Amino acid sequence: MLWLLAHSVRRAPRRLLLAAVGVAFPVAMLGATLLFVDGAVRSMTSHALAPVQLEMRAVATSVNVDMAPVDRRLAAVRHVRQIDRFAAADVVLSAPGVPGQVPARLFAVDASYTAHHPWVRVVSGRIGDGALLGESLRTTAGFGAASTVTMTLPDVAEGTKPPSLSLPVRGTIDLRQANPWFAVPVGDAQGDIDEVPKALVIDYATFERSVLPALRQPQVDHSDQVLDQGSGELPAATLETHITVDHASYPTDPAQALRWSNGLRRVLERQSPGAVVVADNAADALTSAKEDATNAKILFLLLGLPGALVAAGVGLAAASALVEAHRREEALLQLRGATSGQLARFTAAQGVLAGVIGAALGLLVAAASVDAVTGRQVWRDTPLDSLVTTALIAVGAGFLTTAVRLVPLVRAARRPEITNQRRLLDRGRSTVWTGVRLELVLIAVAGAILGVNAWTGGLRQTGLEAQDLALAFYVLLAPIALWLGLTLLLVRLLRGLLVRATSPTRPRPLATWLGTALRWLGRRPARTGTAVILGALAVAFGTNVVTFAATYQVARQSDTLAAFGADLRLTSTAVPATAVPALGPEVAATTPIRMVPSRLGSDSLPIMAIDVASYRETIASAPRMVTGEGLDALAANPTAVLVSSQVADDFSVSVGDTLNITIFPDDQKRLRNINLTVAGVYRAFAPTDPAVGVVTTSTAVQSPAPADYYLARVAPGLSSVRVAEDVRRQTRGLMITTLAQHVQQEERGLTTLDLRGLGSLESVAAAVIAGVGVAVLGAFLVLERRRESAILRAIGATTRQVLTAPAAEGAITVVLSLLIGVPVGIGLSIVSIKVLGLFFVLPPPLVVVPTTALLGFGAFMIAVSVLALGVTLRSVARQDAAPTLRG
Amino acid sequence: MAPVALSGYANGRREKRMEDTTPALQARDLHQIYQEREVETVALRGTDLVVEPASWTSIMGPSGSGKSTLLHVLAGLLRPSAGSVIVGGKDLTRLDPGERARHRRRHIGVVMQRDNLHPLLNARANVALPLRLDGQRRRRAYQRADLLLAEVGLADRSRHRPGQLSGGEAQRVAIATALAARPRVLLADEPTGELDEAMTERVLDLLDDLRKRESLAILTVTHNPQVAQRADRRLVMRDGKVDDGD
Amino acid sequence: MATEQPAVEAIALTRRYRAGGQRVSGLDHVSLTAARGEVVAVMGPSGSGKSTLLYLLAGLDDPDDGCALITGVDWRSVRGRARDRLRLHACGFIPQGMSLLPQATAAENVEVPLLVGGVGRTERRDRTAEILDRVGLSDSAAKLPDQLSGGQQQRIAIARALVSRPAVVLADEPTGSLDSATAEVVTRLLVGAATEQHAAVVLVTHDPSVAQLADRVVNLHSGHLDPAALEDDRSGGTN
Repeated sequence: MLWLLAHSVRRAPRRLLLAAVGVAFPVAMLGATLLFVDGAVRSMTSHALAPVQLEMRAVATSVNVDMAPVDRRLAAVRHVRQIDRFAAADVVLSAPGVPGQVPARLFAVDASYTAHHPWVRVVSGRIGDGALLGESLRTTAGFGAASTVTMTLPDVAEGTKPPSLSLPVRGTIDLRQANPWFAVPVGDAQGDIDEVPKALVIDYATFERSVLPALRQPQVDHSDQVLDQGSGELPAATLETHITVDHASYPTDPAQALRWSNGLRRVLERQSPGAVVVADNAADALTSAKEDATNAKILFLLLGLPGALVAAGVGLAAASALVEAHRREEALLQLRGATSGQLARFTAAQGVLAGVIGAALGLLVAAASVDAVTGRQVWRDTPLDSLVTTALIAVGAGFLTTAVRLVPLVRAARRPEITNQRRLLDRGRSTVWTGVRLELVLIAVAGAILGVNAWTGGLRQTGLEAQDLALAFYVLLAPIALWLGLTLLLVRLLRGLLVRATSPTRPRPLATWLGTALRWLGRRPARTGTAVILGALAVAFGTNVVTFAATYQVARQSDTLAAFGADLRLTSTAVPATAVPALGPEVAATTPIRMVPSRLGSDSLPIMAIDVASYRETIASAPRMVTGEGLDALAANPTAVLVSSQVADDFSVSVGDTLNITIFPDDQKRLRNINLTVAGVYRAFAPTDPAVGVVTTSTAVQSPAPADYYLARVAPGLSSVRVAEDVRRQTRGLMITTLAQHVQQEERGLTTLDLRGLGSLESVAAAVIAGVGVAVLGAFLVLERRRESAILRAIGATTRQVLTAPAAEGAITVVLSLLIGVPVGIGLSIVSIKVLGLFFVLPPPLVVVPTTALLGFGAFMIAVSVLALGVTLRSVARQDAAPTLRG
Repeated sequence: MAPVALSGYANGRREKRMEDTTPALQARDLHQIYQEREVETVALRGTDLVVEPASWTSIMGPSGSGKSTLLHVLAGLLRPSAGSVIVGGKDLTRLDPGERARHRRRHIGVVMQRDNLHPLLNARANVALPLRLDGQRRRRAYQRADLLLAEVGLADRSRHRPGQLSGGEAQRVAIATALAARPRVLLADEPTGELDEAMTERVLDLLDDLRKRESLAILTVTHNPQVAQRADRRLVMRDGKVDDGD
Repeated sequence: MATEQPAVEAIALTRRYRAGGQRVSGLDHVSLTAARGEVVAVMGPSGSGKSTLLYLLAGLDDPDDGCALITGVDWRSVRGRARDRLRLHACGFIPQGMSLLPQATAAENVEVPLLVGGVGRTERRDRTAEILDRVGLSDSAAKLPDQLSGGQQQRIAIARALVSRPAVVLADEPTGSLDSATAEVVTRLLVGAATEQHAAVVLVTHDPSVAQLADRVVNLHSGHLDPAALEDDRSGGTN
C-alpha cells in the first residue's frame, strides 16, 4: 500500500501537514521544557563549584612520606592544572618581651602559592626567608611589633629539649579567607573548620630544611602518626599537596560531575598508593548540586508536563478534522476490494509518517523557542547523549499522541461493514469520560496523595539545615490530577446546567436570535465543550506557571534577604579589627554580629552573639520561631539563648533547659564556661548565612572584642549600592558588601533557578495552545455547520445572523476558558507551592498572584483566539449557499 | 455470438470465458434489518434474484424500497441478516470480510451514483486500483488500465484527476475501474444519476457494448426510465422485495 | 381579475458551469413565469439545469445572462442585507434533502424565519402554531428532526417556508427520498397550503406523479425548455 501512500502525500500534502502539526505540538512542548531544564541544570555545576577554593587535597599518611615523587606523579595526572606544596604543624610560639608561650599553627607554602590561590593574601612583606604572622597573631600582646619569633614543637617527650627555630618576622598575612587551611582534610569530618585563631606562615623550603626533620624525630610524639581519618581536629602535623582542577574540566551535569570528581580522586590516590590519601573538596558541593538538579528536574516537569498534555489534546482535536475525509476514502477503497488488513496498514503508515514529520518539526520548534527565551543556543551546549535522551523523550510524547489518534482509526478499518449513520445531531454521546466520571477519580487520587503526604509529614518544612529533600515523585502528580479533575468537573457541571436549561422537552418560544443560538448550543454542546476543556486546561496551565514563578521569586528574595540580614554588611579590614565609626545619616542603623567559637560537651558549636536593641533596628527579616519567645526573651534575659530546631533535635534540648557552654575553647585567655537558658527554638534567625545553631546576646558572652562584622540598614528611599559607594569613599578600613554582591557569591543551586525563563516559555505556549484550541473549534464549526449556514441563508438570514451562532460559541469558549482556567490555575499554584516550600529556608507565601503577568497572558490568549475566530467567521461569511445545498 | 475476451490477464492466469450456463449471480431469500436507536428498519424482506451472464437487468423502485441495501448486499459490502448471495462460485455471506473483499475485487464490479473514484488518484491510477489492491504489479496493472480507458474513450484523460473530469467522464472512468479485474458481474446504482440526457445515452451505449463483448452480467438499480428501458429484464422493487413487472 | 405581476419570473436566464474544461450543466436562455396562486412543476433529468433555475429564482445564484425577478424586483438590483431581506419576505425556499436545523425542534425550525425577520413574540407564537396545525404536526412541536419521519420533516420544511407568508415557494425535489404514498401527501399539502396563502409554487421534480399535481409542467432538457412537452394538465389541483 506504499504506492497509495505516495500518491496521498503528493496530492494532499496539507493533510499530512495537519496530522504532523497535531504531533508536533506535544513534541515541541515537552522538548522545550526538557531542553530548558537541561540548560538550567547544567549551570548548577558551575554554581556549585564556584565557592570551592581547593578541589583536591593529597594528604600524606605520615610525616615520613617523601612528597617529591608524589608531587611529580600528581602533577602529571590529566585534568590537574597545577599542584602546590603545603605543610602545617601545631607549634608553640614565643617572642622577645612576650611572657609565656602561645600555641599557634604553622603553615608552610611556596611563594607562588599566593599567586595561585588569591584567598591567601599577603598584607605586608613576602613569603621568603622569614615568617609572616597572621593578623590574629599580630593582635596578641607582644606579637604586634615583634621582629623575631621562636617556635618550638609541642608534645615532645619528657626531659628532652624541644627543637626550636627562630625566624625574623617579615610581615603580615591575611588568612581569613583561607578556609581549606583550617578545614579538616579527610574523613567524616572533612571540611569542618576547626577554629585556630593564631597562625603564621613560612616558606616551604625553610620548613623542609628546618622543621620537617624535627617532626620526623622519633622523640616527637606524632612522628609515626598515621593520619587519623575520623578525627574532628586538624592533624598535629601534615604534609600535603594542594591540587587545582580547572572548573571547566568538570562535566556540566551535576551527577556526572560528581562521578567524574570521585573518579579523579581515585586516580590521584592511585598515583602513590599508601603514601597519600586524597580528599575531594568538591564532592559535598557537587552532591548538593546533584540533589538540587534532580529536584529541579522534577519541579520543571511538574510545571511543564500539563502543557505537553494539553498540547497533545489540541493536536488530536485538530487532526480529527481529517477523520471525515479519511472515512470517505476508506469506503471507496473497500468498494474496490481493499481488505481490512490493507486499510489498517495504510492508516497506520499514514499515521507513522505524520508522526515522524511531526516529531522532527516539534524538535525544531522546541530548540528554536528555548534559544529565543534563554538567549543562547542551548542545544549546542548540551552534550550529545543528553540531547538524544531529550529528543527521545519528546518524540515519545509524539508517539503516544499518534497512537491515541491511530488506534480508533485502525480499529475502525478492521470493521469493514458499512453502517448507516443517520444520526443527525451529535447530542454529546457518552464517552469514557462521562461514563467513568473521570474527573471524580482524578480529584480523589489527588486528594489521597496529598492527604497521605500531609499525614506522614512529608510536606512539613524541617528547617534551616534540611539538605535532603523528601521530594517524592508521586506528590507532584497530585497537582496534575487536580488540574485535570477540577477542569473536567467544572465543565461537566456547566454543561449539565446548560443541557438541562435548553432541553427540547420544555417548549418555550424563542426569544432573541442570540438566545436562540445559545439554546441550540446547549443541545449539542460536545464540540464547544471539548474546546472549553482544552482552553481551560491551557489557561490553567499558563496561570499556574506564571503564578508559581512569581511566588518563587518572592520566596527567593525573602530567603536571600534573611540570609544576608540587612542592606549592607560592613567588615573591618584593619588588623586588629576596629569598631565601625559613625556613618552619617545615610545609614539608619547598624548592629554588631559576633561569631563566638564554643563547645557544648565535645561538640563544636559556634554561637552568634547579637546586641538585641540595635538588632531589632537593623535586621530586615524577623526571626521565625517554632516554640518559645524570640528577641523579647533575649531582651528580657541577656543570659537566655535561642537554638535552632536542628540543634534542639541533635542535642535534645527544649525551652527551659540550661546549656553549659564553653566559649573560646582554644583561647586560654578568653576561655570561659557559661550557663545559658534556652528561651526559644527557631526555624530561621537572620542572618542565615552562615547558618548558626545558637544565638545569644553579646552581654552573655561578655565579649569586648570588636564584632566580626556589622549589619547596616540604609535610610528609607536610598539605594544600598549608592550608600555603599558613599561610605566607601568616606571611611577607610571597611569592607562593604551589598546584598547583590553577596547573592552572586553564595547562592545554592536550586534557589538560583531562573523560573522566569520557564514562565515566559510556558505561558506563551499556553496562550498559543488555547488560541489554537479556539481555531480548531472554529474549523469544525465551519466544516460541520456548512449546511446549516447555507439553510439559514436560503431562508433569508443576514450575514450577521448567520455568524451569530459560531461567534457566540467562540466567545463562550474563550470566556469560559478564562473563567475556569484562571481559578483552577491559581489553586494549582497553591498546591504546587506547598511542594516548593521544601526548597527554601523561610516558608513561602501562600500564593503571590502576579496580576500584570496574568493580565498580559490573558490578553495574549484572547488576541490569538480572536484572530482564530475572525478567520473562522470570515470563512463562514463567504460561504456560498448554493453549492452546499445542492451537493 | 461467441464471447470474445479482451487480451490481458487477471491475476496472472488466463481466464477462459467458457460457454457458461450457470447464473452470474444468485441471491436467495435476503433479509436485512437495521437497528437504529429506537427504530428498527426492515430493508429487505426475502428478496430473490437471479442474473444470467451477458444479460442486463434493471431494478426500479422508489426511494426507501431497499434498492441501495440490495446493491450493497449483492456487492458483498454488507452481510445480510439472512439469505445467501452466490457469485463467482462462492457464497458471499459465508465469507469473512477479508475474503469478501478479495472476492469482490476479482469477481464483482461496482459503480455507484457518485464517489466512485479516489479523489487523490488520477484516472489511470483509479482504474488500476483494484488490480494493485490485489497485488498486481504496477506495470501490468497500468497496462490494463490504459487499455480499459481506451475502451471507454478516455485515453486522453488518463492523467486527469476526478476533480478535473466532467460527470460523464467520471462515470466512464468508474465503469472502467469496475471492469479492471474482468468481473463477471457489474452492479450499478444510478450510474447516470448525475448526467444529462446525451451523456446518459453514451454511458448506456458503452454498457451495452461491454455486455456483448465481455459477456458481462449487468444489474442496474435506478428510478430513471431512460436507463431501465435499456435492460432486457425490468424488475420492480417495493418495500424490500423484488417483483417481476413492467 | 386584474393582471397581477408574476410572483416570480425568469427572463432568458443563462448560467454555465464548467468542470474539466467542458460545460457540465446550466441553463440556456430559459424563461418562466408563475403567478400568485399558481403551481408550476419543473421537470427534467439530472443535469438538465432545473435546480440551477430554482437557485437563480431564489436569488442564491446570479445568472451569466438574463434576469430573475421576484415580486417584480430584479435580484441583481439588490445586494447584501437587502437581498437577504427580500428573500426572507418574498420567498420560501425548500432545499433538497433534509433541510431542517438538526438542533432545533420542529416548532423552532418553523419559527426561524419570523425570528430572523424580527417579528414580535406573540405574533410568532400564534403564526407558528397556526401553520403547524395546518400541516398537521401540532403534536410534534417539541420534537427534534431525527425524531421525525422523512415525510414529517418535509411537512415541517413546508411549514417553515410558508410561515412568513411569502409570495413564492420554491421547492427543490421536495419528495426526493419519500415513498410514493408519502410523496403524494406531501405534495398535496404543499400545493394546498401555498395556494391558500395565494402564493406561487415552483417545484423541481423528476417524479411525474408529483408533477401531475401542478397546474403547469415545464420540461428542461440539457438547459433548454422543451416547448413540445408543455402540458396543461390539471388533476387534483385547486383552481
